[in-house]
Amino acid sequence: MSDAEDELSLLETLDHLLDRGVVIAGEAVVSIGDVDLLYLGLNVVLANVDAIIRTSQPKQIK
Amino acid sequence: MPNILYVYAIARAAHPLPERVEAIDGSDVIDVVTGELAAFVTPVDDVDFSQGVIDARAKDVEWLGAIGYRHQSVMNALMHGGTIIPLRAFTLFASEESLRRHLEAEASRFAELLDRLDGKQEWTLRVEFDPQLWSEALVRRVDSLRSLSEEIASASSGKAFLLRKKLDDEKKRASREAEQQVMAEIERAVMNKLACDTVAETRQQRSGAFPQINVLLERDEEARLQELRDELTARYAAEGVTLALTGPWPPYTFAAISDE
Repeated sequence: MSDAEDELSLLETLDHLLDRGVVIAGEAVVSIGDVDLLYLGLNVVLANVDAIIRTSQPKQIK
Repeated sequence: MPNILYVYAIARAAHPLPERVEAIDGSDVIDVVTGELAAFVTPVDDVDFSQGVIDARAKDVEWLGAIGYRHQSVMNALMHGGTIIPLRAFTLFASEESLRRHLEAEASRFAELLDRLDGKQEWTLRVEFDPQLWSEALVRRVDSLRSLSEEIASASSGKAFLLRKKLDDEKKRASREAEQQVMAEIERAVMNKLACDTVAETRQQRSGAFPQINVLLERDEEARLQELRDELTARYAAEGVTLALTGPWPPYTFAAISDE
């Protein structure tokens, strides 16, 4: 995989695991779910990485 | 000293420990078993993982990336052992006792959720739009754009300038509508072929990132989804629409939705 694809797959991973999954309320002491800005930032980066990959090289799709 | 618990996922009590995988801090993943359920956890330090530290480091993509990568590796290893309920990353419990209390209190809900997710996998179809090709395709798709475009071709240069501006504005509006239409067509195609649960997320919901459709599939239907992805890619290629398929993911979307 190229660096750009590595980066995309990492961002995709973060995109999935930071904003999804079951949220435990009550007993859990900390959750990153409150950091909304981070998610917004990640999304923008994701869109940018998508654009870079699309225009710079043939894309490997799983 | 590790004194709080970072919890990755919940599964049935007999679920095996993940093999050959590093925990988020490079240590080990252990299980906490209560009744019929097991939680998979790593003890971490409450100072290193305080809300303040997490908030402060959250924009450090290197730190977050390292944890995200290991978190996902643990989840993948856990998925190999059977059905899991993935928790949102950075779920931390104050103590083993509080985690056990939670598992006991929510035992029936988690058991139902595990039954519902049994034998299934989550996949994501990201729908990407090439700006140039999509913009040209829009003119063909939408009648009003087509007539505007024809008008420009025969207009004087001054009028053509104004019409081109109008065309750009119209295109933006039409693009949103046509994008939603394509998404609906793709989601329908997925449901027709695979009769499965789907959750679509628009570009607006994803803060400007490409829209996507999450799909909860039976384990043996992966090849059929790939086949459908190929069919749809061929169908939309001329319009600059491509579909990227990723997965299998832990059922992040569907565990959370069933949870609501």
